[in-house]
Amino acid sequence: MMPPATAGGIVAIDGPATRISLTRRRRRPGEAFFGTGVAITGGIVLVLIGAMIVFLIVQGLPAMRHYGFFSFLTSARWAPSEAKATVTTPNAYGIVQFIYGTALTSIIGMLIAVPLAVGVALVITEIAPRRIKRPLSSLVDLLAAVPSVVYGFWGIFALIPAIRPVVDFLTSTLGTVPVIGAAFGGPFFGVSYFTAGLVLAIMILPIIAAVCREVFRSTPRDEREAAFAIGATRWEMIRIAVLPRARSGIVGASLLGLGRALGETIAVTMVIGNSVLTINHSIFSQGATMSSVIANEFTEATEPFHLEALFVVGFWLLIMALVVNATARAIIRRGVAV
Amino acid sequence: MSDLAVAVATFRNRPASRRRRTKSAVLTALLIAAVVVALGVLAWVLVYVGIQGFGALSPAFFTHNPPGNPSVAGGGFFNGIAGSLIVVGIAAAIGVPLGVGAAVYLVEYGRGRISGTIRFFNDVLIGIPTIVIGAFVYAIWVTRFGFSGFAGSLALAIVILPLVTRTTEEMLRLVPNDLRESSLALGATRSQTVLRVSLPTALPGIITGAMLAIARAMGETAPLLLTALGNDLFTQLNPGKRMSTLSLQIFDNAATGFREAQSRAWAGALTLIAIVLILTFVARYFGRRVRTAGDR
Amino acid sequence: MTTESMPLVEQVSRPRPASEQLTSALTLDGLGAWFGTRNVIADINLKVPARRVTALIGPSGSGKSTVLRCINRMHELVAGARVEGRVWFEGQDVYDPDVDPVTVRSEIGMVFQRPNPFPTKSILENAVIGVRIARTAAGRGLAEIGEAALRRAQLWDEVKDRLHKPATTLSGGQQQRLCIARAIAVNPALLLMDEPCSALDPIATFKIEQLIREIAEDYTVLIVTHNMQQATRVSDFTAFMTIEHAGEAGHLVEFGPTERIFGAPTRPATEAYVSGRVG
Repeated sequence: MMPPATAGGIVAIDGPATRISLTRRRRRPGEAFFGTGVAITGGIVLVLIGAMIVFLIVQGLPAMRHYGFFSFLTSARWAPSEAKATVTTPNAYGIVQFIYGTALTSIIGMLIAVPLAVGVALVITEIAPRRIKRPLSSLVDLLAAVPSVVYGFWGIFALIPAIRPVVDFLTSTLGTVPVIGAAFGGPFFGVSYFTAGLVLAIMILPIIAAVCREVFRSTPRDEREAAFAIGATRWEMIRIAVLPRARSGIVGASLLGLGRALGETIAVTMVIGNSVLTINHSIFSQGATMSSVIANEFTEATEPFHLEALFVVGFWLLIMALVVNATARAIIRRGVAV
Repeated sequence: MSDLAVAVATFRNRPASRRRRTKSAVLTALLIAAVVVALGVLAWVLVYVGIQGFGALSPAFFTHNPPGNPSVAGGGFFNGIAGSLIVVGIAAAIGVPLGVGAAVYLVEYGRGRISGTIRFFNDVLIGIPTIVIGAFVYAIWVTRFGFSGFAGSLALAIVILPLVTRTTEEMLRLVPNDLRESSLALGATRSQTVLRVSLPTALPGIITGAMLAIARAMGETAPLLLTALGNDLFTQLNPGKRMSTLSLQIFDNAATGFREAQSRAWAGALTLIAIVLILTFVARYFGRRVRTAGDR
Repeated sequence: MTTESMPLVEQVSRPRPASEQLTSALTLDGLGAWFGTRNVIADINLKVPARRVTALIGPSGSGKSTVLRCINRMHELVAGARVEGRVWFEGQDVYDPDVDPVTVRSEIGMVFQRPNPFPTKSILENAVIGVRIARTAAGRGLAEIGEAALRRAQLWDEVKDRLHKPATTLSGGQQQRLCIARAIAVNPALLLMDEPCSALDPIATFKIEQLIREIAEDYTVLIVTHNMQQATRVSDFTAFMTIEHAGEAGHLVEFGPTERIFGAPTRPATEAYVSGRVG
């Protein structure tokens, strides 16, 4: 189609015959290849998560078929040596005590880590002078850089001897009180739920603190200044201007820490004692978590359905971690992008 | 903002009373105590490992394997160190390019819902217990091909990938959009723009992120228990076979009852912390230098 | 600030011989553009004369930059953006389905508001990058093209001793001249400039305005500018766009030789704008 003759008030002759063809496409096969390749790498994450769920089920399927899908969740007795290929009830591989262990150690960890992390984050954002903010943050982040196995090793030889006197005191006092005493009773062998919870607290503190730092930092400066302007003290300013907005962020941060605590394996294995038979009631007694039992028994799972049962544990651990992490991320995204 | 309204009503005409100031001071002190605790523990761990490990370190530690009998002193973790380098090296070679590719997709090509979903699940993947990742690789690889250093690399690649995607995405988003537009306006295709402009501009930050992910992978033990399995006594450089890594060796030796094996484990722990910290510091220093060298 | 009071600034436009025939390098035919449902420009009809400088003026928000970006098919890169109408260039409609947008962009040069040389590349690499992308030259040929472009952009003398230093070591005005060199190195038939001087100081601005008058001998230049004095200094023809009310689409009000648009505009809206009463 030919271009129109006049426009805009000036008569102009259209230019000479075309010198360049705009349809000339250089051969660009690389372009589509690149775009597709990049899209595939983007999709890998989705494939991986889906595949994990599928393959853990596949590996655990023989045990699930043998004992029934939910029977694992209704028994707290893990006794591989009692498993027989011909016996389907009771389930020799009850996993409730591992869920208990995971939950207990994580809760202890969070009870200690969350207040500490919030405090550390507040100090970094509100109290520390400008010059030391960044070094301070970096130092706290270093806690996350220490490998898990080193924490476990240190936990055995440094932490346990240090807390022993305190725990012995607690077991001899709190442990003798009726009703709640069972939760604090001795004897204390060093390795325990409580010890694992302590180590977890150290390990999850940096990630909770980092998220809280971002959350507190996003408090609008005007609100801070408004609080000071009406004569609030520093703590009151924090309470009025910083913390209220940060509530959901702190919850999200804590959930992230919880997610990390759920999955922590090696340090926990080294300091929890790996008593897998059943739930032990005192927090100072030995125990096991979902991840520690997998790590501990994997290479020696020779009984019938033993290995498959460990995959069932892994499957439920994956589900828990997915739920906690997805919730944490959803909460945090709504607040601050971290 | 009702807290603020209440506060105004409370504070309006009262200078800060002694009681309020004391309360603020006490709470501030508590907050600082939290920092002291956190840093104190960090110092405790580093110093303790340093002391225990230093005593057991010797040049032979880096060049010799452990003695066959764990109760014998001397020897070192050469096989573990070599194994770590190989397993993490292969994992990085797999995980870093894939992670960068995914980030390129999210920033340069992605549209709307699907890239939001990918980003979300990428962050979720970061939080998945590494033991589960190890179990997964066991299920898809070890059951078919046996335990091997390469299986360990696969597991660590899954640890590295989402971390690299996240940091690379941040770095690519920092590239000013008018650089991309200039490139496109010159008649470059999208892929040319990514390869010639976006990635080179973001490169220092991408390297920082990759190094931090590698430092993380070096410290991992759990997934390797189920994949590389470990090979305590012999040097194994073939990733097709079972391999030891430094982290696995520390784990195995720490749990023995023998003081000699444990002291090797301490030396190993110090070495591992040193490697991880050096990588972390170099990565962060590198990243900071880039950010302060404000180019525009 | 009034430019008339500054001794450095000259009336840089050169009168063209009246008998020279005008050809149109670019014809906009019913051009309209949207961001999603928001109509940004509507029914733009314009013939841009070849080898002249045409200024596109108007109040901010009138869609001038959008017009430019529709010409080299940059507008559509934004998600949800849409274009209607035709853009005739080199005898073809740029929006014809057979036309390759990448090729279009390599034949049309664009200079942006803020200087944006590629920070990881040296001065010379920046100058020749368009040529490398199009793969029309390599090796020594590149160095020659780079020198020619830098000379044309009046930057060569200032950078010839440091061609391999990063482009970011240049001043703002030098960076913008580098961007111009980058754009003209590929020998485009049309050069689009989107307020190229608005981020620069007056001296740098002056140098670039001189540069624009120089290169107009060989290139057709379409320049968007906020600065009416700049339009009078630099352009042969002027097109005036405006919007009446917020939320409307920008439209073309008047087009003609610069002297007439500023001296004796035929439309009241034009007159109101150029006399400074509006916008």
